[in-house]
Amino acid sequence: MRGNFRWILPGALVLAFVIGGLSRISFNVEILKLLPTHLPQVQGLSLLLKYFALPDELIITLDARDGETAEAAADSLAAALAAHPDLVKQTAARPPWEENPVQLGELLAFQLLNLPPHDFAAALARLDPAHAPATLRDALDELSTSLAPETVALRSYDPFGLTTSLPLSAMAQGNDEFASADGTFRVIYVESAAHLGNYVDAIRWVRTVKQLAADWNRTHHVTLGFTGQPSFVADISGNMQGEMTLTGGSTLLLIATIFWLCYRRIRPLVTLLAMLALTFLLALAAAGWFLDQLTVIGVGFASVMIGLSVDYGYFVFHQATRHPGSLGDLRRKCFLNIAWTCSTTAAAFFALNLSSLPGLSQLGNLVGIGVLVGAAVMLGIFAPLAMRNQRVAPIATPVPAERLVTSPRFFRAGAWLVLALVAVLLGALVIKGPPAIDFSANTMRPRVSDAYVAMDKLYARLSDDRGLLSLVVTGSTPDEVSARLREAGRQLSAAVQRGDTASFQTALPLWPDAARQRENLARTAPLAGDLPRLRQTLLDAGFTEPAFALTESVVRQWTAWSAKSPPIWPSNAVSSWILRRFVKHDGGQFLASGIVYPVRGRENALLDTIGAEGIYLVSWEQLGRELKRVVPGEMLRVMAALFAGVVGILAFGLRSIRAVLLFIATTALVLACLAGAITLLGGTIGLFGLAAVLLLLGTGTDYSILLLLALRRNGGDVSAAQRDLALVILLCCASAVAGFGSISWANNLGLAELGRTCAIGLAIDACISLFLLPPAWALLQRWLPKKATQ
Amino acid sequence: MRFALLFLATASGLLAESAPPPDLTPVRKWIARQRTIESIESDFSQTRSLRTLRSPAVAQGKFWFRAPSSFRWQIGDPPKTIALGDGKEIQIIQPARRLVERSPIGRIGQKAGAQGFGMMSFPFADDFDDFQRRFEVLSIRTDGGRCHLDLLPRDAQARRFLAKVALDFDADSGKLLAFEIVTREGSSMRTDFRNTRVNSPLDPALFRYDFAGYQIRDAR
Repeated sequence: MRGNFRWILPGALVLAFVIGGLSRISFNVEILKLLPTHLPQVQGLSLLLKYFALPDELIITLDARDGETAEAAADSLAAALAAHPDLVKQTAARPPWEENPVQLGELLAFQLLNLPPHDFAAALARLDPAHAPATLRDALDELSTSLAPETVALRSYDPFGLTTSLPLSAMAQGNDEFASADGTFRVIYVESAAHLGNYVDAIRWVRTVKQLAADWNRTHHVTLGFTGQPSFVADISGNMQGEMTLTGGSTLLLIATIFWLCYRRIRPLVTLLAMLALTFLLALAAAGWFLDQLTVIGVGFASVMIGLSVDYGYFVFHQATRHPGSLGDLRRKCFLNIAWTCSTTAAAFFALNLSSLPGLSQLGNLVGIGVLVGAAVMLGIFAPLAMRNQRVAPIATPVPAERLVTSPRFFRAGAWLVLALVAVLLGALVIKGPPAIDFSANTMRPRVSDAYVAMDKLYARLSDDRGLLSLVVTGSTPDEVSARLREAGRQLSAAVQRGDTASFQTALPLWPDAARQRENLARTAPLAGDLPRLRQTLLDAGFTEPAFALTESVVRQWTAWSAKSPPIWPSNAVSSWILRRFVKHDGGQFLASGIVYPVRGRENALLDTIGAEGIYLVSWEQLGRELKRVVPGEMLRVMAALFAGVVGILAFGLRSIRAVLLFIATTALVLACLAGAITLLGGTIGLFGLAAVLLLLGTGTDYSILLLLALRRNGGDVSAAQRDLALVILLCCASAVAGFGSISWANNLGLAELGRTCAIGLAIDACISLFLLPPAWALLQRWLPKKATQ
Repeated sequence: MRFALLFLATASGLLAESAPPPDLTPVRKWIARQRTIESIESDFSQTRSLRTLRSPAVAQGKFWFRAPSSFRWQIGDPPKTIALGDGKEIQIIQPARRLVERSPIGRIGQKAGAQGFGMMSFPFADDFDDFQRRFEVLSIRTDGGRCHLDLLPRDAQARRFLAKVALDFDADSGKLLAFEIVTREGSSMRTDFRNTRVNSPLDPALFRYDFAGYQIRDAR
């Protein structure tokens, strides 16, 4: 009884640790969180996503058979959603200025205030009593003779020519955000009533809006799509939750099947699965306590860790079936072996921290912690349970599966099969060449995502801006951003002169210049009292009242701002809509964006010359190129260091040139066959394929090391070494392949690539190590006498 | 440009309801006749009735066309605005400002209502099928040799701004007599042709312009 109480406090602490850790788990769906943060492209794109991706704005796409139906349906759906103010702050199915054109006066007033003072003075001069009649006569003349429709439209409502003072870049028109050229495809922007602080909020809100839209569509029968940041978050986070459960669960199921085939015992099987579940919970809780957010790659840790931790369980159980001594003896017997393999595996995964990829570091840390926890659980809790089971229901050894895999015929047939497999894979490598390299962002996106489908459609039907570069400028004050925007503009103008870029637009015309605003605002004071005179002059010149609306709105806005101290930011609904993707000035953060139209093939030259502190020129395409330029070298360095370490340890431990040469040859053959397999399957090697190779060096080489140790232990007796290790290697390999293989079907393509490459690589490694390495050892022994190789 | 869009787009008018399929034989005939025209020289007067003007603004101008695709429009005397086209590019010249703005023909075509501002293309359509692909006929009526046609471009962008385009033509001679665009915002622009001479010899220099001292830029 007292013994039971002794476990209550530690048990309660563990329970609190698990519950606390699990409650802190959260997901981060950003691809950029997986990538090296020191790369300028990653930094710039992160800023772009963080400040200009609009986390609370859902984009609904709508397809109809004709333009009129689409337009009416878009208006109707926008109104239906806007009828839920508790859910939706605002909807936009057409440009806001169409509904409230006078509000454009604020933005025009703001842009005029930012003009150099002498230009602003010239604009005001057109309004003074001496010049106003002539200004209006020019406007009439232009309205009669201009051949440009936009000029006629503009001058009709701006007869005093205020807009003619603005630089062309200030008047640039963005692509139509609301409708395709044929009008059958429309877009509705829906802003959440409350800030979507986390993925749970996003999932709940998007689900509700989708349900409302589906209800509305019962009577409209148009095709709807949902995208935008909340939709991405909801889609990917929902997948991540499900995937972690599904891949972990399928790994457990496969492991259970393998165990059952070997031992045919339910009770130890259930106990082993419970130990794996406990290991998973403890590791996940540790992740909750010590890591910020789980990324899509971190999610894959569950199945990988289970696939690796179960090895210790197999080993402990296998030893327990043939161990007549005490529990202490069993633990001592197992400790060194488990400590050796567990520490090398954990070291390999912790080595992922040497790479600058945060996603991989997180996966490495999670699996590293997981296998250490797994080893402790198997030695501490599973070992006594396994011994008790052996006492209650002893298992006779060798088990049937062991008899099958230790027969000479099995090894002979296996060797020929593996030789044939190696020939096929190397043949594919020689004939088809090495796998293609792909570092594009596409390799990291989800396999299936409604949000991506809708976004691709939006690119296809509206405007595809994926070939453009985005300019992001940051600063700690508005003046600093203003200065950097000017510097970016100067560099980009030079690039246009050199032919490195076609054109560009920065947010400079939309960014406040406090000094100019102060000086210009002082000049506007007399205008408030001049409005009646201006109206009368305009009417006398032959214009009608609507022609005065814009001028009046601008002058009234200047009057309203005269009591404010610069910098002045435009803030009405229309201005906010136009500025939302170009200007951010919330909470002490000042950022501006822009668009650069590159010249095909000159992007690298452009990127080399643009940039300074706080200035980023970025695109997803350039990110892929930067990753391709930086990451392979870095990964190769990490791999070389890891491989050199393993070879060094092996040389020190075995003191045999022959063993070291065989190890190097085996590893090289495994990697060549893996490349052949990827080529044969039509795959590519990307960021996560390289990481998989790194993991393979850390975990897969165990098989060849174990075989070399067994050969040494058995005095070079090939058959004895193979018999010793066949079952263990096949069990470990099967469970590891099950673990990695289960994530081959992960929704995230990067994670799937990692799982697929590891699973194939481990299977090849196990086959070559078990069936080809021992005969090769014997062959080498014949050619190189022992003395010569020591 | 946003301001231009704003005021072009604000108005909302209902289109005329579709009538039973009209007899388009005169249109077919007119388009076929246009294919035989080698050159045109014509005077015109353009009347712009804008919502923001108390009375319409009227301007006089001249138009020349030479097959297959060269044209020259000029408004005012002396010319205040000249448009030169060669089938690939349109140059809009403002002599007073010594400014030339260039646009590829494709881009001009994408601008809603661009035709109505003076650059009526010749021939109006490659053939009758091309005409039907590009335009929806709202109504047609004939009065002797004169045919009046109301239509709308099928292009969705153009339909956002235009309430209708009206053409008056002589199907027998292929001559265009007048055309008018009416915007949804309520403004209209009508061009009436007179003194039209068909297939008379034209000086090639009409379709060239000396840009010395001019600022040349791509149109927005």
